[in-house]
Amino acid sequence: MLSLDFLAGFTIFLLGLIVAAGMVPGMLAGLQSATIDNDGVAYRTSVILAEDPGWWFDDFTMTGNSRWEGEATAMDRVKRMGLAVSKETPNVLSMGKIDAFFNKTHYQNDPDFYRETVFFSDYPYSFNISLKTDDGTRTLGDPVPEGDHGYIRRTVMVKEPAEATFNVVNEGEQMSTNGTFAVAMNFSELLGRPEAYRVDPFGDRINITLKDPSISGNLTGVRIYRGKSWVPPAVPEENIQIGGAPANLPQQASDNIKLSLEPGFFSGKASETNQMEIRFLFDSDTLTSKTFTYNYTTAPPPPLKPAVLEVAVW
Amino acid sequence: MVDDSAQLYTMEGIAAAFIILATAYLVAGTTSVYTPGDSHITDMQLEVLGNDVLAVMDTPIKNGDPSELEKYLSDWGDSNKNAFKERFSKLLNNNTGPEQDNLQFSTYVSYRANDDVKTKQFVQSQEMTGYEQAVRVTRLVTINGKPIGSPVDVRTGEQVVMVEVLIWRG
Repeated sequence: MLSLDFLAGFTIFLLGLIVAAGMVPGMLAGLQSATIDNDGVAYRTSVILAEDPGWWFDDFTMTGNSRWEGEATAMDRVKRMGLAVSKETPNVLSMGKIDAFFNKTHYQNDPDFYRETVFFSDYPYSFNISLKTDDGTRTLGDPVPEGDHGYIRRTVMVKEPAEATFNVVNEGEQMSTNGTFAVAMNFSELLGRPEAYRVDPFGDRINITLKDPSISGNLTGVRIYRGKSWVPPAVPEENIQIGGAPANLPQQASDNIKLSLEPGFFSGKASETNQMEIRFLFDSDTLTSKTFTYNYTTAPPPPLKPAVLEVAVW
Repeated sequence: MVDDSAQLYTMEGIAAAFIILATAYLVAGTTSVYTPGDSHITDMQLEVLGNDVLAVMDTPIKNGDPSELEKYLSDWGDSNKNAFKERFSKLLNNNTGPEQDNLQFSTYVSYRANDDVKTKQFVQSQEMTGYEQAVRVTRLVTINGKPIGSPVDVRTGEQVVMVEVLIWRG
């Protein structure tokens, strides 16, 4: 016959064992907690994208600033890809940074780069980041799953680059033997405005159109001058369009000439106080030498446009 | 004679203790207290969005212009209120998907009248029932003078008013 002592002791032992076994899954759950903070990660990422201007840093020269969109040829120097125009203007995004960020080729070649500079995590998050503006929706990442995922939506504004159009025919009637049209840019004047409303020659795309030149000579090249001195090399042909088609210089300039300088074009070529000149050179000696001024009257920045930024993380 | 009755009393005590403990454990385990800390994720999304919309509306689209929010607050007439309602609703519910979201809101403006701070309803997108799980976002806005159609006790001259928006999922 079992003794009552044995029965009681064994029952208590069994109950203890059951309680202890029941605690084991709880112990292990603490180690795998990455699934519950997706909303937090989405929020953090949206703050970096919408409120931070980003950062690039060169370890050799020990220099860096927030105009990372100009680092298209050296993206490995980019440490953080925020889209804001500056840290003083949260929720106002720069079109130059948006273009650099939503670069599908770059993303497909190096998705880990995005994880390092936007998510700052060793955990391999999948993500989908979309931006809807009046012009359409840009998307980066994988399709959003049906199941559990973190999500946040931000309302932002987008600052687009200014367009300057100079009417050559009306302006250039007196001929000279110089054969040059120039566009003068006073960087201190341009940078003197509040960040959300200024033309930033170092961070914005600079668009200049010479309208209806009807010039008999050929456009031979476009050069950048700092004051009176040429800053080589010449502007690459892919930045120039004549009549809407890529230029093949020297080329007859009988239609609109459009020059588009990428964000960061002036980095290393000019400082923030320089007076720069963009000179369009022609081989004709019957042309006017005319200097146009690029300022807030000739190149007014377009109004800020509302947009929606969405971040999904899983 | 020695018998088992003392042991039986002990076992009864232990069994009763177990029953009490098990009941307490079950009760504590099944009851969940909904604290503000638990609701922060869903609330945070609405709060961030509401603050964003107010910030966007308070940012002038051109250098030197008044902001949209300033323009809407300068006239408390019905047509201007409806224009605000439409604009706020559009910015709040806009998303990248094919269907717009269905967030509703109610707006109040607080202003200083003599030594008091008074609050007046500005406009709401839907009648509130009182059961909404709403979040509250605010923004201080400087207006240039007494708004058209505002109550008589609103001061004249430049002043700061507080815009308060309650937002909930419709």
